[in-house]
Amino acid sequence: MRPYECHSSPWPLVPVLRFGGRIASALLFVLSVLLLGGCDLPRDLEGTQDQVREGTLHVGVIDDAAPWAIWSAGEPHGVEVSLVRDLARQMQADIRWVAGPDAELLHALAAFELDLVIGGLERSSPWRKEVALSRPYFVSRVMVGWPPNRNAKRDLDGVRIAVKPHTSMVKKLKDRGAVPVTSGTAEALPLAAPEWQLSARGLIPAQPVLERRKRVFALPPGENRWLNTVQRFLFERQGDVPAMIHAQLSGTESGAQAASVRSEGGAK
Amino acid sequence: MNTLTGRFEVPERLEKDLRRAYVLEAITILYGLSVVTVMYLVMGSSQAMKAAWLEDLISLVPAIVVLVGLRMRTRPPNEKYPYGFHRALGISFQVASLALCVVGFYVVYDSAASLIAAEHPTIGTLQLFGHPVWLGWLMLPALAYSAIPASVLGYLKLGPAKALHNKAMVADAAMQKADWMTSSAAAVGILGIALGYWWADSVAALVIGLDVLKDGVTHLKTSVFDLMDRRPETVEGEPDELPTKVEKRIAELPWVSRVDVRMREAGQVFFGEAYVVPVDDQLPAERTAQAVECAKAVDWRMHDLTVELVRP
Repeated sequence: MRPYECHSSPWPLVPVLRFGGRIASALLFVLSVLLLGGCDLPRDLEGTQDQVREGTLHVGVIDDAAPWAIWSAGEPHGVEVSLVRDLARQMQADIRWVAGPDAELLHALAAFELDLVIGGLERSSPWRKEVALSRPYFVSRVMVGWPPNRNAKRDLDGVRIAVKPHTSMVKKLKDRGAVPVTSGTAEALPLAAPEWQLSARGLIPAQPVLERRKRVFALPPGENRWLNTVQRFLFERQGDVPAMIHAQLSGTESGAQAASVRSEGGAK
Repeated sequence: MNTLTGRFEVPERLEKDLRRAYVLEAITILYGLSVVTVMYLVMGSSQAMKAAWLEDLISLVPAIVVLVGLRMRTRPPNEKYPYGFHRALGISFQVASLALCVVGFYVVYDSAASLIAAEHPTIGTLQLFGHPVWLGWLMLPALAYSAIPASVLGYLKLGPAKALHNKAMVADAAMQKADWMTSSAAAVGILGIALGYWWADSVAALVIGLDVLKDGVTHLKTSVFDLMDRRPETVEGEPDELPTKVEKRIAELPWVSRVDVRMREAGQVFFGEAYVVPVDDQLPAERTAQAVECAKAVDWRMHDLTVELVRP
């Protein structure tokens, strides 16, 4: 009899008998680690959440990213800023807003000097290897919005479409055969812009989708507990974002002129 | 005159092992593909998970090599390949070992680099059916899925592999059986991250990389030496007794004065030459045929023996 045939049970059952003990002990090990570690797993590698909770939340805000974040009169405003204010309230933390160019803020984030950076960051950002990006809390689709008196066309070949000058959207329209119009004209042209902007101007968005921009928050790398907290918060509040965008836009239109000029015709 | 080596047949009693080998290798490949998919989905940016995923991916190669080799055995030798296709298995296993070495090197390099750079791995949270779940809690069951059936399959394959004297299959089975170690290393890495040790992930990946590298180098050595026509060894690495047995058997023939045998492995079978000094010059053709028959009767693996009658 060959050694591996010494058992009398059918051969598929043999592994269960032989490995049962090993599998059980492995499961026991994992369970004991999880229970001993406590219910606060996962932990932060640099203890960010412990510093923030009932402490200070250091937030870097990238400027000029309407409606997500804009600085005016020394105070940040915007959809993401409102979300962060609500998060800080939940964490019972004071907020310390930090202004600066995106590179400086994100370097500071990677060095654990900041707890959060906001301001219209996208999931495809080149910074995604240096810092932790959350899952998108909002996906804005850039489409062509048609005035009510015109029929929407799927094929954009030869169509004159208004667009913000010197943006990548100009090239995208050209690639589809459309004629980008960057300077102001009297005619009511279709506009290539994010959906929320088209709705605010009373234009009707139609297919095709030219671009998808996934908006995210940036957090320090490896702070898994902090990321878990922020992520849960974003999952809860995701549904409110369209209304917040609407409120932000109507707020700025009736507000300061400078802010409304910046948010108009803007793709970013 | 037929110069082609004989058509290879596995003896009756090993038919069952052969069928079992086919079934198990086919299951291995299908299971392996599912594991690669699952691991890819939960990988995240963890070094240990990436290493485990690469290891699962690359272990598909030996399984495919073995399955192809088992099928190729059945091809009869032809004019272009008079020695048959037995060597094909050895060569493809060498390539598989080389692939293992490359992947092992890459994983070691990558994880060492991230360890030196003190990278903090981020493992996020996603939403499953409306509930937020930390990705780490999904990685652990994925690792269990990649470890437990693999160990079982490896254990089951070892028996038929040894019986069929298929070294490629033995190596594949041994690697699969040890798969639980790499998955455990990755699991410990993930738990380490959960507990707040930033280095746990990279260290676990390093361990996995070294394990893959070790496997690759071991099997590379074996397959290279076999292709160099080394004297036959058993699957455990001991010198095989078959050449000695064949020598004794031929020496028992009445007309044989002296005999020397040399042999080499080709895939699952042995090729060899026997130099026989006869007592006198009678009936050379019949005596040669008799010697060949006696030799082949010793073991099913003795495939092709060329007997030469020489002067003392």
